[in-house]
Amino acid sequence: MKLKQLLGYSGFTVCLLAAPLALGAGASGEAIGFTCAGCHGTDGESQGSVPSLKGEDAETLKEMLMDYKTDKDEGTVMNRIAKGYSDEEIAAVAEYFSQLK
Amino acid sequence: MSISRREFIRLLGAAGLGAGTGLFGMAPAMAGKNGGQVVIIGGGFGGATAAKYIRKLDPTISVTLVEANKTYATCPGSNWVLGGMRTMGDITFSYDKLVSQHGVKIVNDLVTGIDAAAKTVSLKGGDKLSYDRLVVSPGIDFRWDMVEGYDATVAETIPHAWKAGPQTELLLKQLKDMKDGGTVAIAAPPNPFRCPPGPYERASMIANYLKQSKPKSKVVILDPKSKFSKQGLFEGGWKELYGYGTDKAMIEWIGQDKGGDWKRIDAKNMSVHSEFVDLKADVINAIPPQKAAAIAASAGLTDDSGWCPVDGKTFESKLHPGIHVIGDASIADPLPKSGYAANSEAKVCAFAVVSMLKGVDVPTPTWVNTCYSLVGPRYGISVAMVYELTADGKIGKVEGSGGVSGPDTSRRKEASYAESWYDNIVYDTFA
Repeated sequence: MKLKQLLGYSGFTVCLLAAPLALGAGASGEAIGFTCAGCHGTDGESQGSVPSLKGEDAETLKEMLMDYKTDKDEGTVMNRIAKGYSDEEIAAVAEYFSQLK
Repeated sequence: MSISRREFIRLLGAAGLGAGTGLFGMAPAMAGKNGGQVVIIGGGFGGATAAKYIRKLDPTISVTLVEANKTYATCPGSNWVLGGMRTMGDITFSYDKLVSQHGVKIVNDLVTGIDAAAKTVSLKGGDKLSYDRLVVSPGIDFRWDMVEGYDATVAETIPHAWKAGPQTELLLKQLKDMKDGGTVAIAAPPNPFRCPPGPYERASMIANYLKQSKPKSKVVILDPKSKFSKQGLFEGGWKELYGYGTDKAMIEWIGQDKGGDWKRIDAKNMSVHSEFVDLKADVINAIPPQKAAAIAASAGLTDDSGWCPVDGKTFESKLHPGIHVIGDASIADPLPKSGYAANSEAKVCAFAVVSMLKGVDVPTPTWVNTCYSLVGPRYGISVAMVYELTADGKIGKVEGSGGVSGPDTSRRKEASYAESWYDNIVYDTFA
């Protein structure tokens, strides 16, 4: 839990330091979060009808993404995208967006 | 943890630059002493995103973006201009925000040479820029030699419109001037090329315009390929909106097996020719075969394919260390040559550049491509995929992820998301 919080809070620098600890793990919440920006806006702040992610509750985001991943919820493109990530990566990106102010 | 990450970066930035944004012209040089000097060639989706995100990750790095033009007209959205849904002004952006918000230095000049050994970039204006790491994102050029009767001069009357700007405006004008009952020929390119769904979205958008303004007219696509991106979705939409497959069809697709492999343009006669098909048209949009832009070849960054081989994790050139190549010019398949992919590659490259300048490990990369196409104003379709670095160091699709819109996916919602996608990707790239 502590490591996850640390990763979430301090972003890139700490991710690099923590990288050896997380050997074999997936991409960081920040790296995944960057790939979302094309549709959800820089730092998850959307300019259009696609929802913003910035500052959303981490647990809620995680649950939404898991629901898309398992097809419990039917979106348009998100079911296809959520299936690209491990549960850990989903938790990490949810934590990343929840920390953005 | 009383300050947010953004505030932290802003404070870092302020400390590093020692001044507000008013002094941006000076700031990068001062900051460069700390974090290093990065030069980026090309201000499209790859280059502009790389500039912004390198500064976002480490404001002590000096970033200079070299771009020949003062504004950039995006290829995404340019088909919507042809369909009457957006104006050229809507899809044209300046680099002002990269300067004022992110402290990127813009140099409006043309690169004439890259010296990989001396780590310098020569400009047409006479200046020479030194770099610690170089990012090259030059886009595409055309293989005129592969089409008989077509070159840059002929393209002034028969547009390719595959680089947005005056070429888009020319095609738009020709469509507007065309009589009702006319034929628009789209000569599609062979793989690999920029924006795989592009020619088919273009056919859709032109048909949308014709349906409203010149309903007796039609679009005929000559295609050297036997299949194309999102084909089932496009054909489904064409059936619904443009009578595809009927005797009133406003779009006709002639694939490779029906003689779509066009090889010659007759500008005087206004016709396109393959071995089996001679198509006379009132407007011709010929999109030739493609390769990495000329500067990539002259700098020795291309291989025999005409594209640039790169390391999957860092996008560093396999031919010249210290130089990264991103966007359409790079060989990054299975990532497509799309604006979204270029934006995603730029962020992976930004992590790599920042890490390599610091001398620390490059973090695990991750990519997404999401491409929307409009078949009609309220009819959108999409393709998406998540990519990862495979065990052998190559880029691979994440198994089980991605794919195209389902039969029941709301076309209306995806049309709305397509427009939102556009607004966000251009903001993420240029602002």
